[in-house]
Amino acid sequence: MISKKQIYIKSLSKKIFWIQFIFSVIFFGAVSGALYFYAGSAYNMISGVNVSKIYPPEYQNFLSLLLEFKDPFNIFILPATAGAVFIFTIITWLILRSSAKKTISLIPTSREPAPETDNKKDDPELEKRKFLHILSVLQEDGRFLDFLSEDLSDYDDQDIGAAVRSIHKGCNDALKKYVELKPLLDEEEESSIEVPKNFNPDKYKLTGKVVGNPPFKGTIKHRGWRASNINMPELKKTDDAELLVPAEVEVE
Amino acid sequence: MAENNYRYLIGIDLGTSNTVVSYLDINEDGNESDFKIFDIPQIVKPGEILSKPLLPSFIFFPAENEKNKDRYTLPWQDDETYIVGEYARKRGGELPARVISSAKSWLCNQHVQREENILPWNSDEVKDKFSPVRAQTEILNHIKDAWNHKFGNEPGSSFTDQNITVTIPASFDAVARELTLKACRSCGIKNLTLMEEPQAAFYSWLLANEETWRKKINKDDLVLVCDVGGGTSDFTLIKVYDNQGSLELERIAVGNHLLVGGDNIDLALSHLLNSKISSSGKKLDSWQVRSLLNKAREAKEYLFTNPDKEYVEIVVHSKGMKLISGTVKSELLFSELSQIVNQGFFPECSKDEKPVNNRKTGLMEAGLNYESDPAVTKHLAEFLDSYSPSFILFNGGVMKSEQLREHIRNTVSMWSDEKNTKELLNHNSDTSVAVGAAYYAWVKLKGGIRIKSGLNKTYYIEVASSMPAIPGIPTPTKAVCVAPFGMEEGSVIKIKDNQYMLTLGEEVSFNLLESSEKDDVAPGETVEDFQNRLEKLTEIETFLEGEKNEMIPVILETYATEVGTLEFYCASVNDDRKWKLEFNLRSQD
Repeated sequence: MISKKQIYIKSLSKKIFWIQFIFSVIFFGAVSGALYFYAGSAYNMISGVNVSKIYPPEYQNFLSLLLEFKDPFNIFILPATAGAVFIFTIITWLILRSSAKKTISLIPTSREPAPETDNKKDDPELEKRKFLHILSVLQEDGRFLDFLSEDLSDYDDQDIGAAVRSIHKGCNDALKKYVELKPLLDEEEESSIEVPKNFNPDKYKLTGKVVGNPPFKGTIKHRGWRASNINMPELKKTDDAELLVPAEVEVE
Repeated sequence: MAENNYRYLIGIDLGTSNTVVSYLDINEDGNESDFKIFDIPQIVKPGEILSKPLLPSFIFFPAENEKNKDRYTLPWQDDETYIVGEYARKRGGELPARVISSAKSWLCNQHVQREENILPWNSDEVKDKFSPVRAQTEILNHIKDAWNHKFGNEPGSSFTDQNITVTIPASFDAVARELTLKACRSCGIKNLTLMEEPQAAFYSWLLANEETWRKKINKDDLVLVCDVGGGTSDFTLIKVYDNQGSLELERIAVGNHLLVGGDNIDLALSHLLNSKISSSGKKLDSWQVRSLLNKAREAKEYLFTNPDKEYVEIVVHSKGMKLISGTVKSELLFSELSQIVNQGFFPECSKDEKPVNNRKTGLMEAGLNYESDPAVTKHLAEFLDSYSPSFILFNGGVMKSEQLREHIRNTVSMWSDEKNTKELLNHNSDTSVAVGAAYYAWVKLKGGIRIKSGLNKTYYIEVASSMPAIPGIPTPTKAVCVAPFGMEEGSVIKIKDNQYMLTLGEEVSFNLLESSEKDDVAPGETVEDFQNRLEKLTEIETFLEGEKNEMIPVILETYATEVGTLEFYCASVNDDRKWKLEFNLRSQD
């Protein structure tokens, strides 16, 4: 998802660029225009008189420069002006853009007061509840905690088997409310695979003879899991996050 | 026109057991994939909010001592008086006196005062009860708030400004429609259309088969839409016509409102299982009986989707921590399931068989009018009468079972002599009604095939015959048709031949009668001997304001509104004065 900030920065930097460009064109146009006209009129003024007679030698140097100047004006000054416009625009645009970025990043993300969400995140009770949440769901929908707390040696396999079926279904349904589990790799287990050059170590765990540099050839021993279509619940803070499952009392 | 101030077309399947919302941005192309399902945030556990496509139509009233710090608050609502959705259903199972369920079915219950605060029914625990209309409004309010929470900041996206289509059972009479309209208006919906659910399911099929439907159904074909949901069953017949080379669709019949559905099957199965368990010497407590109901539903779904399995194990745990030792085991055989379903609920029966109505044999407990005969196929036979459908479109949770669809299809095929009834496949029976409703709004806006439908019943008023009074014998009455079956939306009927002299400054009231059969009567036509054929729906009444004792001649006018409701007026023959007749919603007992 593109955040609102990114959209702001994009539109702002565009704006800055065009304003810079227009101002640069006007400024450099004015400067070079002024130069051109000044040089032209000076040349006209001088061209009729003997340069060496009237003016001191310092001026003579300058005037001869002027004379040289008029002809190459079109070849030299115009591209230089354009280049200056371009470079000036780019440099100032980059500077302004980065400072705009900095300023925008200081603005809180949404109109809701941002500090509150930050506080919630840091709230240890809420963090604890988020960590324990899935346990309470597995218990409520699949009696998972009751099952783990049983001493299986007290029962024979048939009884355990019967109980497990419904626990399996309950826990599975509970999990499906929040995530869809998908194998990380599409290929079957025991099929061969090439681990790519710049592989992500969180995606591939290598065992066996790992010598040299990737790519590696190997056999899939486990396809891995990925949580997809995550449906994130919104959890409220409770007084005591350690209360996983309430005790039940039937009132008479 | 102000109509284009909205950005979305929203279809709401305001179901008896679940509510589903589909929506479409009007700037999209209207392809099937453009119709989105709105995931509705709801409380699924105290302090936990999860977004889900189905919002169970349950309203739970927590006790004061149960409310504590955000347990039942929503992002848009701090008030914890009541909650709607999944946890309302779950907790309501544990505290039945604190939950409103099936509010929709109460809307067409003539035996209660539908605008009085009567729900939860028979509850001492809840002090501030809701009327059936208010209950529907609150479910809509939940959707409204959830919508505005998600889309509210986008310009032109406020819920009540959108183009909203709400679906109702095809069997809903004029009063139930009026009450649904009231619920929607109380929620603030401005741009509203009411639409029949089976038609919406068919529109959703049309959307899924946009390119090919003309090859799949042909002229003179009859399509039966068979919608069996959790609590209700609803039938509709759609005929395919050929109009100068192009196919047209018309809804030609709708069934009665049947309060029988999948929940009844689950209940029957759990009774069977409970008796099996108790005959083996074990006894279930109330918690286990409740969980048995869920197990029965799961077992039914499992056996129906795995036809190769002969039985499924039923395991009921005890509530306590001793999980394995407290486990009670049983099993549901496929033969038992098919006996209950195929013989109890969908028995093969002859075409002429009628449902058994033995309700008159004793005092009936007030409450919902559950069907006394749960044999859906018998109701279907009665509905189809002389029609032989060439296709069936199934809808509703129960109909997810391919086996059951096959069984019904065979039964219907058997009734017709030469035709082999085929199935039109419905890909997602959970969401098809909501999607179909949004698609209907799209078709109205941008063009496309539409089902010709109109009014779903014929309405009459009862008037006294003009003949000399005979002492001891009540004045005979006759029925005058005021709104015929198929009356088009947006049209007006004025019964000019029947003038009534009414006294101003007094109340006037007519008995409103209905017939769900497609009677061949013209507006204004009278029916003499109607007692066995027509059913009294309610009274329509008004107070004639004006100078006392003035007598004026009036005629009756009927308006079929664009929204999908009926309005009746007394109109003065001499001038422009009109009085709207309102439905009497008091108990009809």
